[in-house]
Amino acid sequence: MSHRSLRKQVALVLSTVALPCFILVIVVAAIRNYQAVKEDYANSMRARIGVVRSLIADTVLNQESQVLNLVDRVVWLMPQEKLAVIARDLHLHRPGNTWYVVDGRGRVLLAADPFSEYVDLDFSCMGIPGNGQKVLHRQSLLTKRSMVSVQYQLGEEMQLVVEIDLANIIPNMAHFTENQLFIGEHFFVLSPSGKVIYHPDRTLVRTRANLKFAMKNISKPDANGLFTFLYQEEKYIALSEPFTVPTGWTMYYSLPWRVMFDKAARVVVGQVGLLILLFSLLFLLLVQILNYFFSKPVSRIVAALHSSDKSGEFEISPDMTGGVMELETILLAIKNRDEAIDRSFKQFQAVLDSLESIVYVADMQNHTLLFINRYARERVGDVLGQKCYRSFQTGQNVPCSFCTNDRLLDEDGNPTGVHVWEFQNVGVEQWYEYRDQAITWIDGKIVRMTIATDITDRKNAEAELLQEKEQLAVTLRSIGDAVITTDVDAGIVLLNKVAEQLTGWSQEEARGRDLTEVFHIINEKSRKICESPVERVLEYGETISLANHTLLISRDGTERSIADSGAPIRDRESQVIGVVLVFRDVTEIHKSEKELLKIRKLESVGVLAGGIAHDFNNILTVILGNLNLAEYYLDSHEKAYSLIKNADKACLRARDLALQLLTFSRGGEPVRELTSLAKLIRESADFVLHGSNIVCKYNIPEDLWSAEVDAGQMSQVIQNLVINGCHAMPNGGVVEISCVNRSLEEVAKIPFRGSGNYVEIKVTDYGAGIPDEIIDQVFDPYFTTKEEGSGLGLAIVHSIISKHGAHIGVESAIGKGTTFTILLPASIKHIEEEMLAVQTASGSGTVMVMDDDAMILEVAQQMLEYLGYEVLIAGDGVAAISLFKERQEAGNPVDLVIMDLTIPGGMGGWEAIQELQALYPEVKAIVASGYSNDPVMAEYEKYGFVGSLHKPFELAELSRKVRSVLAN
Amino acid sequence: MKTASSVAQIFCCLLFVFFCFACNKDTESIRIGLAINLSGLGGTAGEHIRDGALLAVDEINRQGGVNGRPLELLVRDDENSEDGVKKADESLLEAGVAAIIGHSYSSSTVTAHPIVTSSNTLLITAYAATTKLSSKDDLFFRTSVDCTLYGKKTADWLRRKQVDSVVFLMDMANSAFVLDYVNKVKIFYQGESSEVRFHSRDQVDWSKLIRDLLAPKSEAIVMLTEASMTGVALQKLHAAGYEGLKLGSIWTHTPELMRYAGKDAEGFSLITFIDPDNNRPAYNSFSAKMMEMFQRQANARSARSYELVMILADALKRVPTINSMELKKALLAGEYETLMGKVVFDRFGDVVRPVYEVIVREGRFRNNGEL
Repeated sequence: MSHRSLRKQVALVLSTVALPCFILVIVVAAIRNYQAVKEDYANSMRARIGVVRSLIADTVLNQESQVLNLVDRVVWLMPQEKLAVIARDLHLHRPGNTWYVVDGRGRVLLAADPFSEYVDLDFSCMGIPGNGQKVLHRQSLLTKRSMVSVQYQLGEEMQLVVEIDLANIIPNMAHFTENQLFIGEHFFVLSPSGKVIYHPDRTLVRTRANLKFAMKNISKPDANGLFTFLYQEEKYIALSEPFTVPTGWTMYYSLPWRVMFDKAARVVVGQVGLLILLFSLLFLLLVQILNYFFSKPVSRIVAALHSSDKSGEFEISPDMTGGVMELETILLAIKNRDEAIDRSFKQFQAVLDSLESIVYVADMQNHTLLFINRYARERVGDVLGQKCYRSFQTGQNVPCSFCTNDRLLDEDGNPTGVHVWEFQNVGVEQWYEYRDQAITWIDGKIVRMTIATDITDRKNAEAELLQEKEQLAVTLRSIGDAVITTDVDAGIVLLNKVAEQLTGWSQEEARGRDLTEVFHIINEKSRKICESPVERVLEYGETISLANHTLLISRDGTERSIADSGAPIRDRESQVIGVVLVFRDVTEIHKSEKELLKIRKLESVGVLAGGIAHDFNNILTVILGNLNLAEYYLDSHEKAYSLIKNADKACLRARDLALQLLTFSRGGEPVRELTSLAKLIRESADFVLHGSNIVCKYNIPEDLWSAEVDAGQMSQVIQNLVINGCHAMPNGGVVEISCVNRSLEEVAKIPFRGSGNYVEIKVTDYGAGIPDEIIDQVFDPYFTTKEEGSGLGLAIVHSIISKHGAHIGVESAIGKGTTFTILLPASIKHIEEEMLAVQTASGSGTVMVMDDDAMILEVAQQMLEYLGYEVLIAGDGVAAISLFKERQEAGNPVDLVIMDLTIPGGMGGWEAIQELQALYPEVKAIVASGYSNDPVMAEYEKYGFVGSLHKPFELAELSRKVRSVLAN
Repeated sequence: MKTASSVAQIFCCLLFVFFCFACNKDTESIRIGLAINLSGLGGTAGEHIRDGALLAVDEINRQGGVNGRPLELLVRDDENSEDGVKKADESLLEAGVAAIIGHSYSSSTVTAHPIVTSSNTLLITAYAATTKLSSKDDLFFRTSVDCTLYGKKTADWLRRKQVDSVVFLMDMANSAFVLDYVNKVKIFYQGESSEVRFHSRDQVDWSKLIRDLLAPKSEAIVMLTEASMTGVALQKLHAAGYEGLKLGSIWTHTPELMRYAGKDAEGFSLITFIDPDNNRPAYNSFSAKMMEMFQRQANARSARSYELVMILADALKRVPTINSMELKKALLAGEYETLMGKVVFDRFGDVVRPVYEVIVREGRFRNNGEL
């Protein structure tokens, strides 16, 4: 937009305002004047038209004034007299006028000269006679001229018809024709059919021209009655008035439209001229006044301002304002504002220069820098006026491809706001945050303002943070425990994968929900809802663990035991901003712990049982030893012999019971000895079935092979299988035990990894049977279908069988029963049958017995002395070693040492033999123990012994062992 | 920039002015003249001719004119006099008319012929039957049949009526027609014939006229007069007790006959090529417009002028440039189906059309059949 001086501006504004007003006034004045002119014309025309009309009417009707007089005179006469008077007296003065008299039928009675030839002619078809004073317009039959015929009643049905030559009207109108009020005016009269009755143009009159037809585009009359029409391509304005007499005629007064228009134009032009003059004077006066009181003072002020731009000083002088108070006020305000702006600018400059960011303003079209701050100057130099892309980008000679100018303005060119974006200058590897904005510059132009801040550090920090977050996320994903974080309102913020699995809620579904909705926990025992861990954490503000026996109910209703803990999440100010819950599924752990507890309980029981068994065995050793001796000292026929025999058997059962107890508690390694399976099976089954309603049926061949088994454990196996069969037949039944020798080939067919020959032992009951779905679990520890029982019986069986290198299988059919099949490796050895009373052989030599139990020492001593040995006794290993040394040094060596394995609080057998063997490698020792399952007992040779003795032992067994050792 | 804008504005203004001028030239009217008797004896009949022509021109202009140019009809009164004819035609020629329609009497037309055609302007009429203008290759055209046909048909009528003697009442004010007519009748009529001549421009001595007509005691009187004269003659003959046949010509075929003859026109016959019982839709439409515009019935006079203007306008539309030769060519080439039937000009610009006997019955013209 170009700028003008105030003077010009004022003039322009005044002109702009004045001109439309002037035009409006002119138009209104013109219209009004035109209307006034028209009105004047209409009034003048109306006045004249009335006069002309009357004149013409009078001319037509009363042109021949004598006619009326004559008519008045003759009307009273007789018809013939009428005719005579008329013929005599009626002489029309105007040329072309003529007359005739007709009767009531239109027959011509009398005609003026020279038209007497028309007498007796019938004029009725010509509309003669008419009623009243009828006026007709046509060409005359008599004169051949255009005429109007006027009919006068003469009475007696006679009419006088006077034909008026229309040409005679024209002279009467001469005055009006010559003395035109308006140039070009015309008066004319038209008949009802539009034909010319009167017109200044005689030709039109003579030819009875149809002027109405020739008048085109006849407008409607306006308020003044004026209308326009086109005639021969010229526009006329006219006024018309109807005649009252003659009826049907119309008087027209027309004048060329241009005549009135010119008149109106002259009036309007005159008025316009006057108005122009007036407006001009007013305009000039106003301009002068404005100039004097406004423009000039303003110009002076402007000059002063220009001057102040250069000098920096804005001085106000009194003559500057021309004495106008308001201008002075404005000046003062300008000065104050100037100073304020200057201050503001300096502040702004200071602010911009203090920024540690590049701030620049550039032209959006040509990219020229219009402003740069100090920081930018320090970075890129004083590049004001240069291109921004050259100044801030290295090697950029054209506008940057990433220039955001297009985004700063909308389609209408209006600023779209601040456009924030980040850019990395790969050259210097620095990140900048750009805040681009289109602003209006001081010159009113829209320019780009950019604030570029180095955010390299922030970007690096963000990258690190991102990396940390990623690590955290990976960590969370990798954590085996479930993690849930919430805000302080217990709204869920995060769930890791494990938490999703345990709760059944996905991260997206859970986010924002209340913790209790997702983490639904109840007390396992009371089934009551647990207190929200978030509330507890927030209450205590520290890490807490949840109560035990907490069940997490997942979304699908699955219950899991969990162990969890919660901790507050704090910000840098240590304000709690959330809670993190960590929990894990401990269902399996609990189950394992329960099992472990059971095992430990069992172990405790085992230890107890072991301890009891050991002591029990020791006691039994004494009892059994004495009973054995007593048997030997008594005659078999004596009554006491059988009693002692029974007591002996009872001791042996007690020993077996202790053995079972030890086996159960320890599950220890079998101490294998060649055993008669047939005898063992029968005794074990009979023992357990004693007093029950179950009958055992044996099917054991005579040549059943033996096997090296731990008799006690194997007995336990048979007993447990038989007991199982009893439980399957609570109402009684039969248990069958069948044994068969199996060769290697037969066993090979059975899925069993083994070698050699086997003894097959089948224990069959005919009970309810085991369902297929659980048959594979019958050997699992703690598996039971019974309400009572530990579920360990078959597990112990399986364990013992496995330790014997044997195999056990089970077959069952519902309603038919169950068969357990054991495959035991058979032994090639034969059992040497020994008669208890006869085979107790005596021997010689020195035997030392070491035991901490005095009664055992005593009975052992007696038993050995009965057998013929010299017996030495020692209470523990130390004493035994000392005594052994003594005898060796004395040259009276000990031949055999029988040592108790365990000497509570002293040296046991194993430690003693080691010392003895160290001193005397040839020493022979037998280990004895009530813990028959001890590995030393099972593999005595490995520990330096030559044999083992299980307490309690019988005399025969003692004799055999000693003799065997001493013989080797 | 400003200069260019100003120049452009000025140029546009000039272009506008030129365009207006050009348009104006294109819309300049085509003038045709109508020269007929309006103020002389029988001038009322001329009013009908004028009305018919004005209506035709108005219709043509309402329909867009002649090739977009309005048709302008300049009307002149020939006063039924030689001087009047000359004045009228000269005025029209001076006004630059493309053609002159005229005149309404054979004598006037004969007078006008050399004036108009020598000015290389086409002269065309529907109201001249004189054979003086027949069979000439000139700039004269007419849509009316000539006296040869009239003579023949009149002779036929006389023969049919078994008229052995006929007297001709001849208004010498139109001598070109009446003399020609009588001569032609005599060619084809072998009966006795006599002539009674008078001049309507002079004061008519009707008594003598009637005496002269009755003297031969002819069986028929053929009135070669215009309507007013015919009407007065009929009344006079009736008053004189004449009971013979009375025949008129196309010259008297106007409504004014009834006005002037009254009931004495009853049974009066005339020979004409205008069918009074024309029921063509074009004619009915024309008749309705005549009543609307001029409050007058259509008649033989107005119908002919209407037809003629339509034919002329059509020819004007077909000429490449408007001049007499092109118009002549166009007219000769045209075949027109008008409100009164088919019109085809022979090479001399004459026509042959059906001729009828028309009888006045109950105050109206009625077609009594083609002759």
